[in-house]
Amino acid sequence: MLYYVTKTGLPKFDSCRAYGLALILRQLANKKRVTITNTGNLYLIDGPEMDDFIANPSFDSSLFALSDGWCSTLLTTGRTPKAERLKPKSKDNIQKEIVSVQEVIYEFKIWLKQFQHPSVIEIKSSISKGFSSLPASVDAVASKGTRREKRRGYSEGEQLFVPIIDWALSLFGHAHFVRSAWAGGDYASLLPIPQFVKLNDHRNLKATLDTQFLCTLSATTVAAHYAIQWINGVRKQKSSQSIYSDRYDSLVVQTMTYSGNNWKPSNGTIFPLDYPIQLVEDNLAISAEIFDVWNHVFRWGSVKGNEMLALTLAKFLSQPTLTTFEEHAKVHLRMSITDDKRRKYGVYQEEWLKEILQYVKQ
Amino acid sequence: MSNNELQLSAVFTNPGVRAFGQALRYALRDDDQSPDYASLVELEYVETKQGFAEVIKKFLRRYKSQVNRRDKDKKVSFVPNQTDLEALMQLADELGDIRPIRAALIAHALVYTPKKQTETETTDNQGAK
Repeated sequence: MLYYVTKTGLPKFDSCRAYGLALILRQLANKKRVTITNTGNLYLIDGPEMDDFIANPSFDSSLFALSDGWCSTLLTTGRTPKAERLKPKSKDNIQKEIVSVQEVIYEFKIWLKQFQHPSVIEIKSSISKGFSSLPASVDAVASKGTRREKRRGYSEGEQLFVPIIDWALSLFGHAHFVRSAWAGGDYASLLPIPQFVKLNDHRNLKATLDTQFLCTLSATTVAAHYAIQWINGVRKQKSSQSIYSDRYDSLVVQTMTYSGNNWKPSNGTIFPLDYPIQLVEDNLAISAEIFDVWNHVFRWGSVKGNEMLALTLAKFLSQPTLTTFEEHAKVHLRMSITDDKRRKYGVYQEEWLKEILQYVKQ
Repeated sequence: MSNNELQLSAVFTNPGVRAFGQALRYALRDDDQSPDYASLVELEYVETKQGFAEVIKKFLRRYKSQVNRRDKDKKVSFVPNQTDLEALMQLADELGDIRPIRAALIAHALVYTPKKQTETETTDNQGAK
């Protein structure tokens, strides 16, 4: 059966809702196959019929347990991304929010029907019954700001209020599908936007990558390194499973910065995945070698004194042009010729470089 | 596709670029003698076709003296020949832009070559004049 998640123009909020709903459907139908398809104006979720739901569904309690995922979702409430560092008052506030999400989700029999047909979501700028304010950590666009003409007076700007069901789904999706990491003093959250994904495969891939090291020099290095790891994971699945068909569009990146009292949105962007995807589609074997080199470069670039290596590579991956390639190649060459120890890190073969340059725009 | 839109990978595989890129790699990774950083710096900042020709001329002179010193130690090294030089300059003429060639040469210098291969590689060793 198809479920429809209509897009609102807030990319992270929309993807989180789609992932959140898909995870709920998977729980309700005892882990049956659930897929998400991006059709442009909405996400289509192919899940179980309501008749297929298990008689007395019980959600896995770990889904609503206090974790780092929930802390990074409710960063403006808890004021720390790590659960063990929460102060007692912040801990109470976060737990209250999680319980509110849980209560809304448990009423699935009431709200699930509204996702069986496409419907436009109403977003308000003032508080109303049945609406809740979207935290800035879930989507940068939701941060307080002036969204209408102002002629006089000072105001911090208004928040965004979304229907409580969409609020709960987005928070739930954010807590379980977003990878968070420090990024040069800020806190970054990363979420792959799906084209077509099977939820099980996606969750397995995310679980594998969650423990891997990320180059945390800046938001761009975190995003580029995660993008490489993610597409390398997709490549591995493709080479081992003949029926693997998950596809991704891009990576939503958002950074939050600590202002001394609270967390504020710092930056939000879309990191394109086209370039690494093209490399994989062109040659599975060579792309594996290239990703391995880049993974080493990001690791090596995280060491003090080698930062330019990682920064230039991240810039190249975000925008693969002649200028950015040359910039990275110069830095890489200088580092590898001036220090013998560096030679074993990130060494290219001629064929790999030919492949890398194939999709570089002039 | 016009020459100006020539793919960077096609520039990279051009025989002239390949030969000079390989020579640049050996010149920079010469552990026994001093690596030729001067040519690298000159190459990085060259913008015009005339400037490029001058940089290549200087590079060849330095590289040949590096090779001659190596020959005394009975190590045979690779030297780009006249055909390679002609192919490189013809490509520069066709493109009308030095940047892709510059990037491709630096990319060739990045290629990893085991030390043994550098020392044993032989060519017809005519050398560009």
